[in-house]
Amino acid sequence: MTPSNARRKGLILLSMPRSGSSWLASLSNASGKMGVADEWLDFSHLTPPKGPKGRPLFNEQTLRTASTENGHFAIKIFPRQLLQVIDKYEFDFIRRAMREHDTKLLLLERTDHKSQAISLVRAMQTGQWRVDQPAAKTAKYNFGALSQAYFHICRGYDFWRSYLALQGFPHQCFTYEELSKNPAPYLESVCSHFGEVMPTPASSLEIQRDPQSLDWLAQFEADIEAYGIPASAYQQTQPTAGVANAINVLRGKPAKTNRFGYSS
Amino acid sequence: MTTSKSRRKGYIVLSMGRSGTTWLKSINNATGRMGITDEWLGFETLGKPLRTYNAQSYYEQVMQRASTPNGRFSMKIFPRHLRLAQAQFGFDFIKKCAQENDVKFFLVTREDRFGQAISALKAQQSRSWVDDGGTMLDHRRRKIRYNFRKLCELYFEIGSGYNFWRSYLGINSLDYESFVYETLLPNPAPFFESAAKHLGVAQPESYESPMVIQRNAETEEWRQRFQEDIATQGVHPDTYNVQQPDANLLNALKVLAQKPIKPATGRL
Repeated sequence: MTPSNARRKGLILLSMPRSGSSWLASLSNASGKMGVADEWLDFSHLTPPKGPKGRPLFNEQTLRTASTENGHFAIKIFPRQLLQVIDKYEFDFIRRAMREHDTKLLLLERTDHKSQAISLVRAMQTGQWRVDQPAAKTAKYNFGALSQAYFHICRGYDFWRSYLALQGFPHQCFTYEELSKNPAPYLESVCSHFGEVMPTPASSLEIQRDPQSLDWLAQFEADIEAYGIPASAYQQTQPTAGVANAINVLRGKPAKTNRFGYSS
Repeated sequence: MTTSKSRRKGYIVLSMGRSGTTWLKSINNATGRMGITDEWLGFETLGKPLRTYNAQSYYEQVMQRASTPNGRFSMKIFPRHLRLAQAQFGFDFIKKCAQENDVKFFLVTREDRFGQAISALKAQQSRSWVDDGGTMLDHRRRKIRYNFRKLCELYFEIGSGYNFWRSYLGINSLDYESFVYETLLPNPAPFFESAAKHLGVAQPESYESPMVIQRNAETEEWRQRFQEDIATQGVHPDTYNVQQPDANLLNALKVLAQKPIKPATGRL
């Protein structure tokens, strides 16, 4: 393995859930030479102690788990995950990766935000994020949740665009709709950065869309036409119900949030 | 709510502050036939106290104020206007307006986001949103001071605002035409040609405006400093703080009762 302090080649895939990022990650991961792309900044991986003390361990641990034997690393990040790390370890993981390593940033967007919202709400309701996972619950159409998810997704992409522009980080953009027909441009870009030979695209992941998604889409569009967008859809967060949170709100303190929100 | 009988022609500019919409407004309003553009959804422009309005009278008041005698109307809306009106009166003004009238939507954006954030901060601090040639008394102007954290916040907030409009227009499947401030500045004619054509009236005779561009040497100094601070410090971490609800008893009770709370005032 490459020492943790050496300058390495890395890939960071910036996106939002249900953009096809797991599928793309599975394509590049299959080579075994271009990092192990996954959500390494998610809650379950934030195990080192909080604050600057835990920062070196977290950084080292993340790069190690995200790397293949040749030292190349790959990570996919959603906005809330970057913010979680900033909150917990008081540093910007991407900025450090850009400074210390030869890191390529890719921005993956899905343009059909309504279908993406449906996919997100269904996955959150059932707990089935991939086809091979069992569904814990039955999905139930919910207009308010879909509207909220739609704006949440749009805000996430906007966050990445603002973040990248403000920092002046060079990046390459892809859309899910284009790549789902032909993922070669993504693989070419990643292989070129890592200096690896392009593999034959192969993934064990399947697209989860089914007739229920189409039914929901028709219902969603009919409801938008009939009722308009509920005001709650525009709100970034709603505090979780509870006495402690009510007191937080009353005192002007940060409140824990639910659903799509992220509490700092 | 009731629906008004006559279907009128009008246009709505969707934008964010410091995008040149007040400048466009000054050219539009000088014609006297293309509606009277202003931020009519803002509660500060209402003639009477807010509590005296219901949804219908608020809607009618806005439409009346936005109209020229020929029945054409025009207005500009920022995201917070729409959201606060919806939170206050329980209806989506744009949706109702588009259902009852023949409305054309324009999205006006500004590409120089650094410049826009600086302009917004200076305007907030000085309380001078418009340079009208010096009619504002000097003692009412407040001192301005470079503030890195605020500039980062405004940079993201402006992006969020434009994103809100694109999301809103997308989810409601509303057609719109986009214009960029930087392109319009040397030649605003394409915007007014499109608006006038929709309204069925003649274009403005003149594109002269009493508005003065507020950019100066200080703006460029701030821009340079802002970019240097970004390069050395990264984005200020407070930029990412989640907007919290207004601290009051009503919101606390709503949290207890698991009811949705209104967005914080003064923000997107």
